[in-house]
Amino acid sequence: MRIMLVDDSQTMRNVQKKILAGLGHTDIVEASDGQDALSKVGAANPELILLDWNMPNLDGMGFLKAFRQKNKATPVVMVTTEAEKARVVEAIKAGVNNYLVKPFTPDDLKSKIEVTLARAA
Amino acid sequence: MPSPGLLELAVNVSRDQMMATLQIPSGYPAHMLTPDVCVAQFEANGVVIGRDGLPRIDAAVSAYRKTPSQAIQVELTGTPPVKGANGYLELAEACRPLQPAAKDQTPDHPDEDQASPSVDHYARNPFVLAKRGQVIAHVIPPGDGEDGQDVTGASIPAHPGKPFPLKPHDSIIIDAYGRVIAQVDGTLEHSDTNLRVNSVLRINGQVDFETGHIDFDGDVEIAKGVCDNFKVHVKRNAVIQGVVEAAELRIGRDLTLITGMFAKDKGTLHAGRACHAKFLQQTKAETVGDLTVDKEIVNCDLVISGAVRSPNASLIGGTCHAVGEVILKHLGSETGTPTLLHLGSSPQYDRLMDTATQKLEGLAEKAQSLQKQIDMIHAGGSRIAAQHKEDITELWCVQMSAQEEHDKLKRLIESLTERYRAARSARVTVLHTIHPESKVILGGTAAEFVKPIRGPITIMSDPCGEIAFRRAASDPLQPMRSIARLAHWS
Repeated sequence: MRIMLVDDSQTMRNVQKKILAGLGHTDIVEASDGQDALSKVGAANPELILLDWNMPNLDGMGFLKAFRQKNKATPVVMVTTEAEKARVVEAIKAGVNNYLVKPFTPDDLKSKIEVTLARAA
Repeated sequence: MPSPGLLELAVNVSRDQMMATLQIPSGYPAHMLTPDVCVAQFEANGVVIGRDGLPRIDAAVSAYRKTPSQAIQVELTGTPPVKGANGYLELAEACRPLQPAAKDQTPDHPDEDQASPSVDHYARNPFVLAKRGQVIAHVIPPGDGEDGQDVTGASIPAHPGKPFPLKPHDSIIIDAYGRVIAQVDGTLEHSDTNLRVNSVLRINGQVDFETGHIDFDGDVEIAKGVCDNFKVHVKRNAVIQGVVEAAELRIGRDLTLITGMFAKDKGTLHAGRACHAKFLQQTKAETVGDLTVDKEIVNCDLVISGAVRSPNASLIGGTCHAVGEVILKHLGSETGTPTLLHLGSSPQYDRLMDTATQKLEGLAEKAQSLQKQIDMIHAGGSRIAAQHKEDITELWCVQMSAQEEHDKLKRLIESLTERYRAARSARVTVLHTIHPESKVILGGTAAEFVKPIRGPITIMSDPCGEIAFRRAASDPLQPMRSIARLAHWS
C-alpha cells in the first residue's frame, strides 16, 4: 500500500516512515509541503495520506481543500500540533478522515492508521 | 523472311518445377525476338516471371541478336525454401564459464608474480555458481524458415527448425518466455542438451591454485585436500577426503575430514554444527556442535560448544574448551606434554554474554536518558510549543525502538543461556590414561596431574560444586585431591 507523508519536517517524516515500516508499509512518497504534495499526489496515487497542518508555501488545510475537489475517497489523517477542538472540527469539515495530535507515540499512529484504513475499506 | 512456324520458341519446365528453360533455336528471326515474346512464351507455359527473370531474358535476347546463328536458352529458376534454424540454448552472461587459466600462468609462488600484481591467484574460481531464482539461460526457439517459390509461382513451404531438446531436471524450470531458472543454489553443469544446477560442488582434486578459494552456498565434496592459505567457505556441509593444511575452513553445518587437518598453527576450522576428523594437529578449531576425532588431537586450540566424543582419541597438548561432555582415550602424553582441558566452558559464550550484557545496559541507559529529555520538556510548562511536541514524538519513537531492541536482546540472551545450560555437561571421561602435565579445569579449580592415572575415570562436580572423580558409574564420587594437585584457576 502506498502512503504519502506530507510534513515540512524531515525528522517527523523519518519518524513516521520508521513507524510505518514497522507496520510493513515501505512504499512511501514524501512531500515537504502542501504545494509539493499537490504536484506529486496525482502521479503517486497514494492509498493513505498523513498530513501536517502547519507548513510553508501551502499548509495542510490548503492542500486538503484542493485535493478533496478531485478526490473524495483517499483517506487523510491530519497529524498536527493543532489540538484545539475548533481546529479539529475545521479539519474534519474540510475532509480529513482522522486526526492525530502531536506529540504521539508510535502506538498512537499505528492505531489511527489501522482505524482509518478499516473505516475506509 | 523465314517462316516462324518452322522455328518455334519452346519452354521446358522441370519435373520439380524449379526450373523453366526457354529454347531459342538458331536462325530464329532476331527481329521477332523481343523480351515480350519471351515473357509471353514463358507465361503461356505457366511460368511466373520473378524479379530476376526479366534481366535474364533481356540479356539472352541481346546476346541472340548479336549472334543469331547460335541457339540460346534462357533459364529461370524457382526460389528454394530456407529451413528454419534449430533452437539453441544461450547461457546467461553471468553463467558462461570462464576461460581456464593457462598452465604456465599458474605461479608456483604467487608472490613472485610481478607481471600482474593485482591478480589474486587464490581467488580464481572456475566454477559457475547459480542462485535459486536466477535466470541461468534462455532457450531460443527454432526459426520458421522462409517459404520458397517454384517457377509457376506456387509456394514451397519451409521446414521449421527443431526445438532445443533441453533435458528436464528438478533443479531448473523453463518459464513461458523460455527463461531457464535455477531452482536451487549450486554449481552449473552444462553439456550438450543437459543443463542443471548441482547443489553439491564436487572438486575432483585438491583446493589449490587450480580452483582458487571455495565459497559455496550448498554442500561441498573435495576429493583430495586443501592447500596452505586457501579458504573453503561453505554454507551447508563439507566432506574433505585429503589432508587440510594451513587453510581456513568455515562450514555452515557439518564438517567431515576423512583424513584430518594439519594446520601448522596457522589454519583455522569453524563448523556451524558437528565436526568429524581422523586427526587434528596444530589447528585452531571452533564447533557449534560436537567434535569427534578418531585418533589424536595434537597441540590444538579447541572451542567446542557441543560434546567431544572421541573414545579412541588422545588429546595431547594445546587447550580444549568444551561445553558438553568429553570422552577421550588418553588425556596428555607419556612424555608429559602440557594439556589443558576446560570443562563446561565456552569462551565464545562468555564473550557473547559480556557483549550482550554491555549492550543491554547501554540500551537501558539510553531509554532512561530519553525519558529525562521528555520530562524536561514537560517540566517547561503546561503549554508545550509545537516544536517541542514534535521533539517529544521523535523521542518517544527512539525510546520505543530502544525498548524493542532491549527486549529482543534480552530474549536472545535468555535463549542462549537456556541452550548453553542444556548443552553444558562439565564432565570428562578418560578411558585409558590421564598423563602427567595434564590439567582439567572445572569452575574455578584446576586439577593438575603429576602421575599417570589409569582409566576409566570420570571427572565432574560433586553436589557441593567441588571437583571430584569416580571410576565407574555406580561408584561414589571421591575428592579430586587424592589423585591430582588442586589449584585455584581464574
